[in-house]
Amino acid sequence: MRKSLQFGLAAALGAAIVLPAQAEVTVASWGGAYTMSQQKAYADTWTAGTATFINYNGGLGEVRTQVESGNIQWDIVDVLPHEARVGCDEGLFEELPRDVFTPAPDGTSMDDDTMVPVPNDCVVPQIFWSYVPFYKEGTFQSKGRKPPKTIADFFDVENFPGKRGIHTWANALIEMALMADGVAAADVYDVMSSDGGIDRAFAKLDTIKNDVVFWSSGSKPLELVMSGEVSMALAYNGRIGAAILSEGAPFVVNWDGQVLEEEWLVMLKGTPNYDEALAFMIHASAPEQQAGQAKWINYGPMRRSGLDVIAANEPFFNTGVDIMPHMPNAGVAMANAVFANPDWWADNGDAIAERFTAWMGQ
Amino acid sequence: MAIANASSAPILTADGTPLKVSLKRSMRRSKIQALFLVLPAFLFLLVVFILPIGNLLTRSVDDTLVNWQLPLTFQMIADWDRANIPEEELFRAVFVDFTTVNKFFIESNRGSSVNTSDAAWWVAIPPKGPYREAIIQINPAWGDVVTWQPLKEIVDRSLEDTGSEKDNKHNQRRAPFDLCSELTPLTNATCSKLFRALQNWDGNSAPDEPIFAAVYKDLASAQKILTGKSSTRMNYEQPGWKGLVRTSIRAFKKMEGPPYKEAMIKANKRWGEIPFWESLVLMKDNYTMGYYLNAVDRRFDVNKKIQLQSEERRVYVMLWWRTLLISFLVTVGCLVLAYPVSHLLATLPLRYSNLLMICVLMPFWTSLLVRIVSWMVMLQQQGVINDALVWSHLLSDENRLPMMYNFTGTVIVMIQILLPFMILPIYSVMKTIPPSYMRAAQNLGAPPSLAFLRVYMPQTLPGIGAGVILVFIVAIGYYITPDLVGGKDGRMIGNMIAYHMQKSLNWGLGAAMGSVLLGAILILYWIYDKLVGIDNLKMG
Repeated sequence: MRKSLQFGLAAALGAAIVLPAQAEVTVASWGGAYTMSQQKAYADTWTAGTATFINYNGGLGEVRTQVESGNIQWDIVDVLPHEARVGCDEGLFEELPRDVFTPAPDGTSMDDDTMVPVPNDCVVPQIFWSYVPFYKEGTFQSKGRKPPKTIADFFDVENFPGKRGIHTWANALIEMALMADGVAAADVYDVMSSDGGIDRAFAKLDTIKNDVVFWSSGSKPLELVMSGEVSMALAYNGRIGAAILSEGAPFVVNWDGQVLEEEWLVMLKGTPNYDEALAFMIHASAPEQQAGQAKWINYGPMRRSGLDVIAANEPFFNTGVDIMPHMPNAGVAMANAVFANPDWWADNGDAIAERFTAWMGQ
Repeated sequence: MAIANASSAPILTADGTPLKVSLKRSMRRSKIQALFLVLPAFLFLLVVFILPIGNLLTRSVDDTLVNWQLPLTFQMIADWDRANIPEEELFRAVFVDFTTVNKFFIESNRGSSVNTSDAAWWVAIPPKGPYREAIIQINPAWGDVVTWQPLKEIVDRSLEDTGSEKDNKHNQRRAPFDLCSELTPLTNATCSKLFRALQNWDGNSAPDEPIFAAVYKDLASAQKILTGKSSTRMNYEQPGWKGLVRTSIRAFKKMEGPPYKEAMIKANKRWGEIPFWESLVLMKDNYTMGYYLNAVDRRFDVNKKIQLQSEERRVYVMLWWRTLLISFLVTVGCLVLAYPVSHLLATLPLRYSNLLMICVLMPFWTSLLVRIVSWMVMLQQQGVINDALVWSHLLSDENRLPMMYNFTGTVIVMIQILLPFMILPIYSVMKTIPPSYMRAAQNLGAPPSLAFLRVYMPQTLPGIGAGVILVFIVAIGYYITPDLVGGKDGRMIGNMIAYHMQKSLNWGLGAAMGSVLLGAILILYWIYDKLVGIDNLKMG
């Protein structure tokens, strides 16, 4: 009896040790409708383990602290283009094997299937999002004029009166100001790198300076436009899209002059859950999942094959409407658009940030 | 007689030891006990307060990382005439600094102790091996078993069985990091190849080629990280370094050998621009005051003279003044509002004052964000107050007051948020003032205003002092509220600190600004002590 009890105990203990614990991965992301889309498209469809999403405020401050102290709490982070490059350069992210990721149905590797060049071996493609101007339907009708169409109209407070909601940092604003000033989308970064290019952008920004309301959190511009506090605002396209598609908000988006930004997944260097995290990243970057997040929000998959899945299955959005017209990286939205250049911002971002803060405060 | 005897002889306790000794002993024991009681608090303070502040202060002047990366360049740039594009020699130093790992093997590898004539710097380790000979040529110590043994120890320790599988796994995962932080200044580089190679080594025989190959390859990847980090640092000094380093690293791989000058300028024209070379001069010491200068809109020129920052980038001095102004206005506003409320609280009958107290504390228990958002609803141009003013024809529709997303909004919201910090200390002091004093003063003929000024108010000063200091110090470091409601001219220095800590990763500048803030608070505290006296402070 005693022997068998001992044996049973040993067996139970053994089982407890041998049985692989259910894989658990922690993903730091941005919260709101965006994280909800990731939860539904990636985590809920992942059978090999559980992924827990937590919210963070962007930047690599937290990541750097965790990696350099060796006390790692997050496994995966959802990062912006600039952070994706700096973090990999500084050795804060794991460099990932490239051949384990799911190729497109036609056999194209993931890296070649991505719409922009993959900057390094740390990143896994996510989505494109954009800064884009929008207004409330009917805002400019009552004034007896035709509604704004172009990015130049956004900077034209004379013909399109009312305040403008813009964000408290310089990204995208410099590009938009130059496009509004007549620079072709393809030449924007050449002008920004040239002497006087930045002055030109700030001169254009000066023209709306007195009519500007600044926002710093993504939901704010929608409230500003909805309440009439401003007549037009820049916002993240997904926020506007979510309001239009899910809540029927009467917003009109002007894609002209939008600035697209990349969003990547990276893995923290030295995470104890390397294998599980890699498995999750493989899952989350497969074409099916890439497309799947667009059921819940109108951010564009970075992989062409992801877009193909959506186009082939319209109406794709969960409410049963077509989502392609709302994608920032397809169709009419791309007619006059700029992909933000992270390399330019890596060189000049800090100097521009100081200048922009000074400009705001003057 | 017996009594006299007893008084001259030492008094003994029951067990025969003199009372004095016994007393001392028990005092010491209670002292040690007391020490143990405060020990947790002291350790807590040390860990969460003193160490981070020390870390902050070091970070604000530390410049060792980039000195690790560019030892030869910094040593040689002293001879540069600072007017023309440098000679081939300096270009070669840059090339060597970026492409070789010799620096990790040489002992005096940083700052002024670097000896450029030491042949070790110029030994070329063949990228495809053999590595052993070249590394020993750089530093003969690496041929010695003793040099390797501490590394072997790290490996062995990580392989010891701790009894818990999780801990074992953790230790083995951290060991490659520990190895690299032994060999390099980096805590986030991994020496995984060396970790594996050293496992197969017995620890006594002369280390063989595979171990040298492993250490070379691991250091080469650590060098990549060091390059990434230092290019971020260099970019703070001169925008454009980041891109210059990135493109150059690619170009360096294709360069066959000297001369480098032309090839490098051809690869990226910034190598031919003086400002980039000038910025190197400024980074060449292990310690820098540059971050502090940056925090007050100054910078060093190439001769280490302090200059004003270029005009469009001057932003911090303005923010410092604004931060002081906002904190001052908030403190005054809180005082004006809190004083009568505290008086009411202290003098009303208990059942009313309790209710009032709950009203004071209620916002304290409400989420900060909820309060901020409700202020937005109230104050914005299409908000409740403006609507009411327009509706009552006090304002025309075109002239709605801008009270939100600007300076005014920040001050109003911060006053509301910080009000309890002012009310509570003042209230607790007022509570202790007997009402009879005022009555006595009036009985003696003082009109109420005089009685208030001469009798009541002076007694409340300790509470006012406590409230003022509390509110001012909390206000000066605020950043979440200004970020949400500050808009164009209501943002404070805390927002820039947060930006540099989280987004730009310029921790040096963030730390310098934090230190200045700390210094400013200490100075104000000192002034307060001189003017009012810190022992007059009363929290209750």
